[in-house]
Amino acid sequence: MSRIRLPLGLLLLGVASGARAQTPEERAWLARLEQRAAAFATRRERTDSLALVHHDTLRVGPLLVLTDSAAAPVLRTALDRLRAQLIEALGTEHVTTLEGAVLVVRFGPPDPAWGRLIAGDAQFIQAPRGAATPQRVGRQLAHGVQQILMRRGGRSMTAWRADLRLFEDPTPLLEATYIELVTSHLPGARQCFQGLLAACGDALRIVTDTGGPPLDQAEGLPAFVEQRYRWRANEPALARPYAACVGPRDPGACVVFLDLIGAEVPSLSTRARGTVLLAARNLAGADGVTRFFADSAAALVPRLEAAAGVPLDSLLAGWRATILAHRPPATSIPAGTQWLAVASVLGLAALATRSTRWR
Amino acid sequence: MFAAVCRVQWKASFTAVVLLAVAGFTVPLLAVQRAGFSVGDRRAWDLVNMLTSVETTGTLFPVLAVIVGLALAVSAWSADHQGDHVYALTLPVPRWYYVLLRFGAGALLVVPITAAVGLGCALAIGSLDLPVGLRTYAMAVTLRFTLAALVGYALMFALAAGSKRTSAMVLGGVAVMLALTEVLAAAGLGLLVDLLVGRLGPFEIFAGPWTLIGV
Repeated sequence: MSRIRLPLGLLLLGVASGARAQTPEERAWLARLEQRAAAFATRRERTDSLALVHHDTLRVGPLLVLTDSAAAPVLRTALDRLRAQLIEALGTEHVTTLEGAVLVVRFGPPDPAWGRLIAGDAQFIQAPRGAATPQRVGRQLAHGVQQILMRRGGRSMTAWRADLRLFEDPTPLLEATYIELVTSHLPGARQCFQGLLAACGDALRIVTDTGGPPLDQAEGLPAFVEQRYRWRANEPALARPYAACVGPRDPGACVVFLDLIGAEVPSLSTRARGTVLLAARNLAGADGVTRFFADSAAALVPRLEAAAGVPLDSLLAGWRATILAHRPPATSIPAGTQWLAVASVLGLAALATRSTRWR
Repeated sequence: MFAAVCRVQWKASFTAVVLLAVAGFTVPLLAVQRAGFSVGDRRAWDLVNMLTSVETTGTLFPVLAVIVGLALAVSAWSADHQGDHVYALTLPVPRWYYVLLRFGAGALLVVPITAAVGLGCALAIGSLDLPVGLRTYAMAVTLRFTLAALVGYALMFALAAGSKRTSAMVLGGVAVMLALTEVLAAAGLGLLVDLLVGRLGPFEIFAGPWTLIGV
């Protein structure tokens, strides 16, 4: 394995390897791991864990990557790809967003000691040893980075529960969101589809991420509860709250009922919510994502506005336009299939004329 | 001569054609009704489940297309099979010409059935007040059904034109293949099935989609 040490400037843009981590924080992190490993009960665990601590490290921009197989060409290619993806998805400012982030990539068989060792301090990736391809490992690395970002999203992001897919081809995701918007049972989603932007905010739980019932959905909430949870009305503890919701059509009582059974006030899926950030990225460029993660303590709306560089209404309008532009194409019979069917009919008819019965 | 063959074949197939036309007319109505599109408060519709139901019922279309093909092909040859083809062999026309007359007359009988399917689709769709954003595929389903019924008919007709032994062998082979699809796939022969009904396979038209309503 090459042990080339590159200047810090190059490290920020490329994949590099070295015997030790580069920054004092990383050295401290590894020292912490070493302490944890030393405290393990069995000798085998200690040996295996220290193998990780003392292993060579790789870098992708601000990301530190520890692996049991740093020399693997597959990992190097995957990391090169990841570097390009990071710049495309998060912009050149991603260095600050991912500062201090650590990915641990294990190619060997699963080892519980590793999981216990890093215990939440890093993103762990178990790469398939035999079937590892740069594409597959690359997808795992991108997913790992996404998980790091989600963890760094702060309280408002956790409450919003948006599923970010920043490194994937957005087209299937946006098409799926279109289908969800059209087929959703939520009145808010239908109103959003028809152009009411406030309803979009409600359906995506952006405006009302406090847990209260979105006003535009209030009308449909009793119908939703009746349709989905009628079967729970027979439970003694739930009969009264259910009746309070469905009987007088009281949305507030419906929220109480949903809380009781541990269900969420209905809204578009977490995946659909994540597309809002894609829309912000479309409006403001990749650096918008970095701006979103810059102030993780802030409330959701200001963060989204900072990411998009426009007020929330404009962001929602942009999101809606993006989603509507991704209506899946109408199903049709391809001309090739039609001609093939005609050719099959003619071919079979010709076969029939050559039947052995006539010769 | 074609008119005479058509007349004879119409008489032989009348009952089957009427029954199949009724079935074809009913399937689209059934698909829409089963999904619950025509009843209840539209605000309470669960479109995901309803569209899935329409799609599931739509799988009856290719089954019906195969039955249409089988019924028309069998009735096209029944008179000749019963008379051991003596009448056909005495006609002053080449055999291939006679076979094509039979084939054309049978294919013509597909028309009333597909017309019934088209009418059923139009009625089923026309009776609905669908939410904005959904598309209907009455024409596409009717066209697909027509082509599938013709392919099914041509296949069965060619089989019925052969000797009983050949027909039994081919049909038996297809049945075994369908029954053992999983086993064949495990043995790497799933490719054979793909070649037949997959992209650019001769029976690709059966693969669908057969849904009447979609996004």
